[in-house]
Amino acid sequence: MLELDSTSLAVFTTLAPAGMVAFVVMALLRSTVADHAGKRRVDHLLAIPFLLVLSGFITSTAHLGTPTNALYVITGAGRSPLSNEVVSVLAFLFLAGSYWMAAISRDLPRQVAGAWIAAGSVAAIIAVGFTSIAYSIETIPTWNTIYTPLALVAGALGAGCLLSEGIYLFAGGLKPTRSTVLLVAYALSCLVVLTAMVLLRIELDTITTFVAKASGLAMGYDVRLGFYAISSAGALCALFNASFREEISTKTRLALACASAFAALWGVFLVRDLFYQTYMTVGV
Amino acid sequence: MTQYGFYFDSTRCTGCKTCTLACKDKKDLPTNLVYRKVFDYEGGMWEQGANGTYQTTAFMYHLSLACNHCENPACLENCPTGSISKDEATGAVISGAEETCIGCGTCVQVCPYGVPAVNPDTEKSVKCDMCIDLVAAGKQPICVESCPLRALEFGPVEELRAAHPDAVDGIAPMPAGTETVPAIVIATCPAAKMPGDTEGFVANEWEVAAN
Ligand code: SF4
Ligand code: SF4
Ligand code: SF4
Repeated sequence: MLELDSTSLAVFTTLAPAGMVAFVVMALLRSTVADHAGKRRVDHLLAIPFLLVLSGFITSTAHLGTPTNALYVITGAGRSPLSNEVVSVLAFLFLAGSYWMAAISRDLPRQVAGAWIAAGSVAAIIAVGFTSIAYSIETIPTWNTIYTPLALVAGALGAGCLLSEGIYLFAGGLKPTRSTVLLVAYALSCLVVLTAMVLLRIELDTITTFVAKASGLAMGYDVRLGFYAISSAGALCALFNASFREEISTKTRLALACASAFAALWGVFLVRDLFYQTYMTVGV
Repeated sequence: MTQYGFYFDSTRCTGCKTCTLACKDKKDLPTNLVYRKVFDYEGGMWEQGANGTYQTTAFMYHLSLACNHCENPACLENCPTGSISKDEATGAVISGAEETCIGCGTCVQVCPYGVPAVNPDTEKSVKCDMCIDLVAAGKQPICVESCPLRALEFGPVEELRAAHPDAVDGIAPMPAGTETVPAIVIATCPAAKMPGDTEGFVANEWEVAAN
């Protein structure tokens, strides 16, 4: 049975989709900011989701034997699910990175900024979609289930909403109703992830080959899910306090936002790592 | 395109692994790589009957497998760099083009026969290439030539199927083959179990997982 070098992929599929969703949510919220200075503050902070995606992408190259040939993936859009995923993430990085650099160095005309950031958001949505279906491979029945894209998209949506709320605290925070919507979206997404992973666990029991029973693949599956639930609850608690408790200092507020982002991403990583452990082909 | 493939006669194979070694020698493979693997598939036991006598259900047989040069190759379909190609003349699936392969291991991951490997020395994907150089010269692959029991044959897969009408497309521990449609024809020995069998197990798992 193949021993996968999957940690770098788990890091990539944690950071990149979450960062891309955070970019989209921040872009949506930015469009509702009326004043110019406020928009510019958000533009500066868009560096955070961009850097998250970039660092995830760079980490993912660690599992390549010959990363120097990586350019050949770019020429292969449409060739395979993996090339679609890589090309779409690169398109996002290009659009988001160029927007950020342009936006912080000069005053962009309103329409230009709007169109650019919208293009980055569309690229982000496409890239999250391609990443979520890149594992729907017919010969790997343990991955080729509806729970794979469901858990990935829900995990990214939740972490993206939570990150956006946290990042906006650095720009003075959002209106309480918006903060509430983002935190509720995070909580609901976590529930979807948990449900998808529990249903996958049940399905694994039904998948058997000569070599292995799929349910035996992921060590400590239930314990992992327990840790996911705890880190997600911790993330939610920390950010709730940071967003709604007016008496705490700015320093504490920002520290809580960072801690909550870390806990949320750690939770998603645990689930992603668990997913890679369920690898099994239909064959030998 | 004429799809070429292998015929394997499980009534003849003794599991001697001459095919594995002849291939290794021809391809100059390092100690940690093989392109053809011989699976030992075993199962059953001795059971005491009501009258006190013992009956056996034990069985074992060998299965020599290399790349099946599938008609619907998962390795090719999932390679992100287009480094795997299917030869127009023979249907041979050739992996790991030197200049483009990134060594991502996707082909290794998706092949249900555990065929490709990323060579740790070159960090490129490698696997059986149907001895395409010999075949182009009108010869047989080395593994086929070397088998002392004549358990392997090679040729256009439809001709092999016609020549061996009782042969099947797969035996355990192979999967059913519906996903990739392997170009292989297998003569079943009396012990042979069909794909999907759960009575037996691969007895030399470490050996065949060596790649
Ligand atoms: S046996 Fe595996 S490596 Fe060979 S063609 Fe089929 S899927 Fe590809
Ligand atoms: S290891 Fe090479 S041949 Fe295999 S999928 Fe990756 S790029 Fe393609
Ligand atoms: S056809 Fe050639 S490369 Fe393939 S297993 Fe036989 S000897 Fe090895």
